[in-house]
Amino acid sequence: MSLTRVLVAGAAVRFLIPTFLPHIVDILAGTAEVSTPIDSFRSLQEAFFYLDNGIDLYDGAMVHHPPIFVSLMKSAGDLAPAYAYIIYNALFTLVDLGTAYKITKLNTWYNQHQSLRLGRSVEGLSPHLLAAFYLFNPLIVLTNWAHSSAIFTYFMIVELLVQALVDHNMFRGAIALGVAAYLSFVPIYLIVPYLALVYAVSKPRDWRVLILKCFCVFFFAVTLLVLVSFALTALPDFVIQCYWLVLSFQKFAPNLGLWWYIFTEMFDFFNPLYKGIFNLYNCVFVAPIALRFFESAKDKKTGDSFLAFYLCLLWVSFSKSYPIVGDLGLAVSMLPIFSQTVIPHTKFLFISTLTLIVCLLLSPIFYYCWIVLGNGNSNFFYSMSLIMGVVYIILFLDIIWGRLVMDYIETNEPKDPAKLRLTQI
Amino acid sequence: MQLLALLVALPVIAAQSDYAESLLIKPLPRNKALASFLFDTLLSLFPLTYTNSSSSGDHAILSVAKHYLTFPKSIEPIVASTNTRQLHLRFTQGWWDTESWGRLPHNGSHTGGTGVELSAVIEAGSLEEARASWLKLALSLSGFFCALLNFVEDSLTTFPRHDVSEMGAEFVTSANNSLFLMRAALPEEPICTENLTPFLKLLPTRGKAGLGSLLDGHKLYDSLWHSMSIDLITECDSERCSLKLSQNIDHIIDITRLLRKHRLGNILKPLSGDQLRCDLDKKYDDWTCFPLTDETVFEWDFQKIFGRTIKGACFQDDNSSSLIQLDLNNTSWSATVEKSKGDSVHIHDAGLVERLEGTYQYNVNLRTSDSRVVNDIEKPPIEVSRSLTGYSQDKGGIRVNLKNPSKEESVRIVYFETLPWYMRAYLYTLKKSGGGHIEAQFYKPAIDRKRPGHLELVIEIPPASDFTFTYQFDKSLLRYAEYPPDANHGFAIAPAIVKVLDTQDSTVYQMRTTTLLLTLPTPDFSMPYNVIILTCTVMALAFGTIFNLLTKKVVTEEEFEAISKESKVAQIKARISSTILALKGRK
Repeated sequence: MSLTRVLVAGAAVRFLIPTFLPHIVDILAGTAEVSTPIDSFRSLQEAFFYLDNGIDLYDGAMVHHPPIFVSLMKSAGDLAPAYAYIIYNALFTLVDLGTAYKITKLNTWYNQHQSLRLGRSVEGLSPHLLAAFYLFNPLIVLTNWAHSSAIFTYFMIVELLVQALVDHNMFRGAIALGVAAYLSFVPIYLIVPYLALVYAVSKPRDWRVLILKCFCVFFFAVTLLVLVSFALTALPDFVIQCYWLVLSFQKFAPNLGLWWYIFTEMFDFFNPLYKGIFNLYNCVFVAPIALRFFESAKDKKTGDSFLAFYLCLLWVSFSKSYPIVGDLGLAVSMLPIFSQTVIPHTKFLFISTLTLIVCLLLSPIFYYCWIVLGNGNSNFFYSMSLIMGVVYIILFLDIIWGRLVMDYIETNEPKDPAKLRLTQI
Repeated sequence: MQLLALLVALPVIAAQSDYAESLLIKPLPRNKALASFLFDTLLSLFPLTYTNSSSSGDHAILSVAKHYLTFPKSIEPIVASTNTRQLHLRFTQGWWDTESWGRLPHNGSHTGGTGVELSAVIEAGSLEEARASWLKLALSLSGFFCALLNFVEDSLTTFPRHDVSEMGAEFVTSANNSLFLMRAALPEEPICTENLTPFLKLLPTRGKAGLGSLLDGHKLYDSLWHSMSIDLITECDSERCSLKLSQNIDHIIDITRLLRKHRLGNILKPLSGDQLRCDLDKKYDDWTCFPLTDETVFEWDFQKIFGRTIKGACFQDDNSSSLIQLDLNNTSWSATVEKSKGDSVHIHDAGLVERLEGTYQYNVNLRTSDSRVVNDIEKPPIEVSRSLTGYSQDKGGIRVNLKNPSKEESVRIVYFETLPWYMRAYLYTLKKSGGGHIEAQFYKPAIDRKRPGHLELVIEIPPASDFTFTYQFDKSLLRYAEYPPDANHGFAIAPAIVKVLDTQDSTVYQMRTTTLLLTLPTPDFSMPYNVIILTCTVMALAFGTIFNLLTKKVVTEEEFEAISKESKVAQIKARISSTILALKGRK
């Protein structure tokens, strides 16, 4: 009952405000923190204009959305052209509701799974709280109001987890991951923790068949989508505009990530080197994290592949080229799932929350000082993007250490866990 | 065979009708005057050749004997080696005051936008070939005219759509080739005397005789508005082709200022009391003077305005090539021509058209009884204003207002605009208001660092109405090295071109809007090392933290101490400290 109430309230916030204040979408879609060239609603609308006027979508540098997504969104808007903005408000609201609902399912699954593994009952937070964490997370609300296409990626990421874990259909999960990767490229790195996760939850643990099949399904899903896009546009230009841009970072726009300022200031000579390093950095921890928290069949108590997937998601959104606050928002909204496993052992949540709040408050102010008033310069805003990086670092430190402490307690069963002082060697 | 043909044609070419020059002087309201120089040269025998960029084309050009006569020898090889069939080069500076000066001279066909403008029709087998020829042409002209035309590159070049229909018959050497019309503008380029010198060098007189001898950089560029243009056009009939070069200089002279400079020199000094022009109807005494507007009764001559007199006709034996036209209002203006040679001076009243002859020195003297009375100013068929909207450095908008001043006729125009790639225009935000409608629209979006945005609109505006359209754009952040020096000054955005069409779709009048100054977001230019250091620190911090957490073994602190005691480093440490203790004990 109360879950319905939360969903209705969340829907109202998402639907009514942009419907009655349509300008909010335009303003947020042009805001550095919640919108980047690759997922902005403004460039999606420009793509609609190109379609209407017979201009090639990717013969220009404005549209970085994949062709199938543009076509589907266009046909959604064409249902009632005069009320297109209401249709989009409703569409984005529905997608977010779906994400919130699926997160509650993931929460239930995770608690059951941990109860089974640990041999004791793990009581997580109630579903309506989880939904509220997502639906009323200001970072997600802003991203939704900006109609960023990242909202669809978030849905696909949560959806793939639900498919694999709740519905026990890892092939559909692999397809969902393929769609997510098609929408915004970076989720492609999540295939590694996904395979580990699939292996962890499958009943007959025959890794060869399962993982190979899963990978093949993922590969064919991506290939099919790319081929359909190719058939739609008849030119391979979209690959360059949608995916190569993410890797090559040709278009600079201020955001809260690490890439934009260093490549603005980088000497031409070093550009290829640093672009290589940054791309490597983007996926460097995907495999190590998946391996470290691997759930092996022998050891029932340590390892947590779901957490590994979560950490990889966090890592990828920390190190990607065009991040928005919604990426962190999704991760923060999913954090309460671990309320009985990792969170009791975390130490710095208070500090990271405060740092995040300060960063989010100051970044628009500093941006305004730089861009509009001219009484500050780019370094002000840059400092905030560094602080955002620090927030991520504290989160990593906290979550990984929390899980390690938990693993230690579960395996060694010390007499007094509260007085336990751990270190690493 | 070709040589024979040349020999036969020689007497025909030798006629000096291949060259003509004229000067038009037209007084304008508020003591301004328009001086318009026109120099036409014809290369009547210009065999079309096609130079393949891959083969060694230069030899082919040199091997064909050519007779240039009055035609400048220096420019023809440039044109021939790049297969240029038409070349239009414009150097313009200043602001044309439509309200008091009316239409642009020559209906704007010789006027460019602020800065330098280059457009050319190039014959080529493919687009790549055309681009290569175009860049080669720009580079050659850059050296030739001492202008920064070498900055012309793909990211500035557009292929105008509408003008293609006006290219006329296609003079291509082979059926496989086609003509490409390309255009680029450099709105930031300053114009100065070093551009004038090569211009004069193109004249057969080299500026030493004829009307060219009036052109002095100091005076020419000391004007309110000036425009210098060079047009090379290939014209072919069924048998042969000719190359037509027309050079044109128009400028608006501020007579009051030049006369004052002539009187007082270049240093501005306050007028003494007895020289002040006071309004005697108002309070007037030794201490009070309400100044009058500029003088209305005065006289001026070429010597004072141009700093020189005309050194005879362009050719001594040709009395028909050099003309001076005076467009005066006879009720208040009169002109005399002073012809001198050595000590003998001959003065006569000037007619509408004066022919220059021989080696006389010519000076034209103009007197006015009321300089406010001038011949009627013709209204231009369209008035355009273009401006930037928005206040921030990350986004903005463009607002264009087009006004049809005519009360009876509607006007059809082509609006052509090039947007640099760092202005990321959102055409879906295009909003129209006022009378008139967009008949056709063409838009080619920009590609970063490769192609500018290109917008062409055909607009029809009914009589006496306004048409306004706006659209939004995002400003891109550039690479640190892509900013010019003084990045905070902003970037000049090339003027838009407005062409008025008649019913046959051919241009009857054209004009340029003013340039716009666009400020982009700028990074801190002193930061490269700091940014690399700081960003990499954060990255290393994240990497190190996670790497440690993932790879190290978790133990209790007690275990840790126990293990660290047994480690080799600890043993060595213990040994060293015991040795030190032993040494101390020995003391």
